[in-house]
Amino acid sequence: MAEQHINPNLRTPNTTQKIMLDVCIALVPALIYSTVIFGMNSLILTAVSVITCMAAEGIWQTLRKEALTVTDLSAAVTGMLIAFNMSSTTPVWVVVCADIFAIIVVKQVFGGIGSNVVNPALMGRLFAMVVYGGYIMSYAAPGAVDTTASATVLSAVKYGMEMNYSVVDMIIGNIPGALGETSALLLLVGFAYLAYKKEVNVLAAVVYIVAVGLGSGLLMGNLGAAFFGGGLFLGGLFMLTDYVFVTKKGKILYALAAAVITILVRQFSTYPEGVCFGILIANCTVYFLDMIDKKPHVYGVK
Amino acid sequence: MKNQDFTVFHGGVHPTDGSDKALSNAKPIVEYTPKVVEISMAQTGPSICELLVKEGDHVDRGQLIGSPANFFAVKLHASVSGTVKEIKKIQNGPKEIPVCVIEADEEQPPVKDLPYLHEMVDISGYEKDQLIGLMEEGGITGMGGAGFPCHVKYKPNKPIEYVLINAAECEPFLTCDHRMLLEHSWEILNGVNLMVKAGGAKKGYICMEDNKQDVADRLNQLLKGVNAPVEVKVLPTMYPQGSERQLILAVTGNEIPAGGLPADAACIVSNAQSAKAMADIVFAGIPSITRCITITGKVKDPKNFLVPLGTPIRELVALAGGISHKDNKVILGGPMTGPCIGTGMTGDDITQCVTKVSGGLLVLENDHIVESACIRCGGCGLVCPAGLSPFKIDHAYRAGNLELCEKLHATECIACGCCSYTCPAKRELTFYNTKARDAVKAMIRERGKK
Repeated sequence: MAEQHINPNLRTPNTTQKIMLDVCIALVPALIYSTVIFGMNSLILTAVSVITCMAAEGIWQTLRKEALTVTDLSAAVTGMLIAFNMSSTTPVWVVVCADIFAIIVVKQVFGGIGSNVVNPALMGRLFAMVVYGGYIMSYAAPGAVDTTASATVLSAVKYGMEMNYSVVDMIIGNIPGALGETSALLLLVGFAYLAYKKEVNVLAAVVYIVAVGLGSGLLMGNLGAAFFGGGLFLGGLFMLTDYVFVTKKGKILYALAAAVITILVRQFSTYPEGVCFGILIANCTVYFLDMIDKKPHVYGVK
Repeated sequence: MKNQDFTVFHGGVHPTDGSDKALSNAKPIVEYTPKVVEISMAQTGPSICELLVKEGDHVDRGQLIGSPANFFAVKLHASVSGTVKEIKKIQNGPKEIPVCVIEADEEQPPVKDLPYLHEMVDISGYEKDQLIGLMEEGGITGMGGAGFPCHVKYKPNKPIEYVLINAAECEPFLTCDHRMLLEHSWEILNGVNLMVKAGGAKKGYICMEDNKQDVADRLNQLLKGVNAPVEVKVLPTMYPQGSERQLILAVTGNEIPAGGLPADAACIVSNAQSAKAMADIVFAGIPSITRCITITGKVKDPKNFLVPLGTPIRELVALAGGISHKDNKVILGGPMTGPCIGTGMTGDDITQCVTKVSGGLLVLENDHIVESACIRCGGCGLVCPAGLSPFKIDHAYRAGNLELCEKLHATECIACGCCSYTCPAKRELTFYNTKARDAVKAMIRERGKK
């Protein structure tokens, strides 16, 4: 679009690109740690995923003769998050397929950035889970790159398996899991950076994580595993916050909806992890929740 | 001073950190009279005056040269003594607007030293209607930007409790009101006193943001021991504090009902420089022929000038050292609501002349804004002082859905610019929200006719 000069002539230095770049930066500590405990595979998968997502978006938009939005880095964020949701042992081609599905089918077909109904990264993960389940449902254990795959702490608790990880291990991230989800601590560090820059919805994230952690923790009798044993922090801090409401009540309502679904899935479905479903289903209810959310007071209107 | 003596309005933004105002708020006003003034018969957007003089006529300072030709216009007077050199025509959209070019005499009549410049003058001898008549005679209009005729504003058919003098100057960069309040305090205080009487109000509040504490201190000092229903009100610095609706809410705690006017909240709002003009016409017989304007931003030496109407702004830019940044955009007025009159300009490219509503000329670095897709961050809704969801109205308007715009209360948009300011995707939210507002209002009018 052409350059314009319309009021106001003063604009915030904040841009979509800067926000997306900050999200990438916020994910870096967890990525570095993942490389330390799971090996170079973490870094390679993430790099491939980012490049694939950006390429898919660029090629799609070129073919469709649309304006290129690759430089806004939203595809890079999706790429990072898809990789973060996979085990470091996942074959590269599975990640690539998930990337292409996420960017083309979930994001671009619905109109690209801002117009997609559900979170592309989570849909990418779901796609891989459903289509290539055998490849990604088992996870690498820390420091055991070449050895057998393991269950996550959360699924071990759910299916009554033995697993000896302390809560401290879980918080730091020395546990089996998807490559970017294990370290609650470093994800929190990244999130704190975004919160400092006022680029995230802190309220929704806190409500969601506390509600799910307490809810499913009490139901299965293991608070540590419920909070830190799965993908709660990755989902709650970086993927739930995709859609935002104007009012506080709306944000809480949205976070609670996601939390309830997550707890139900964790407790009553065959899957150990409900974050992915919880957020995706909550994404679909955004318009409904927005409809029943009481709007801010309009000046002068009774 | 009492703390929290005000209501905080919803939303708002802090577009700058205060360094913008620091460019010029310590610079004393420079008085300047150009050799030639060019007085437009359209002092504000929709107003138009009929020209009463012709080429070759000699006019005295303060002589009537334009009579109001529509509802938005006020009387227009010669700002200098001199000879009408030329009647220029300037094309403004479909309208052709006459511009009276006056060559100033070498010798201008001196300004008399009168009591109202140094003290509070007793006004018990003046009647309300007489004052409103003088307002009309003096061509006094809202000098904050909108330029609504004062004599109309002061004749509401509702009882008035408060006259609010808008000295918030919430637009970043502008400091002309700030300097006027400091250097012409008595004129303004006398003007406020007159306006309270003209409005039939109980009290006048001079309202300013707390970045002008020096002004508040000075006015409070002067008001000590003075028997006048005038009080200083210090409000938080938050754009758009000086928006009429937000100001009334901040001071009285009441809102103007939707579709209403300040009088519906028992208030009249007038600009500080309008108050000075009021004192000038009543006590000195000088109509509204001067104003203070800030030349600031990317100019070598930002300044505040007190000049006759019609002063070519390029001369003031030259006096401020000229434009210092090549890749610029030039804005007439404040950065949030003032229109951009060009990019990559030099001082000489500026053809505009000072009108009753010129608060400033601002040179900014060109930021080369390009719109991108909405990321639904919701930020615009958080800052909207009207409590709207600008991104929804924007989507609905661009999709041609005026009914939805109406449901979203698009009619209540005040065009303050907060939404566009805060948008990371650089959406032209203010532009489309105001378009939606106007379209919905037109639709409602059509419906009323049927």
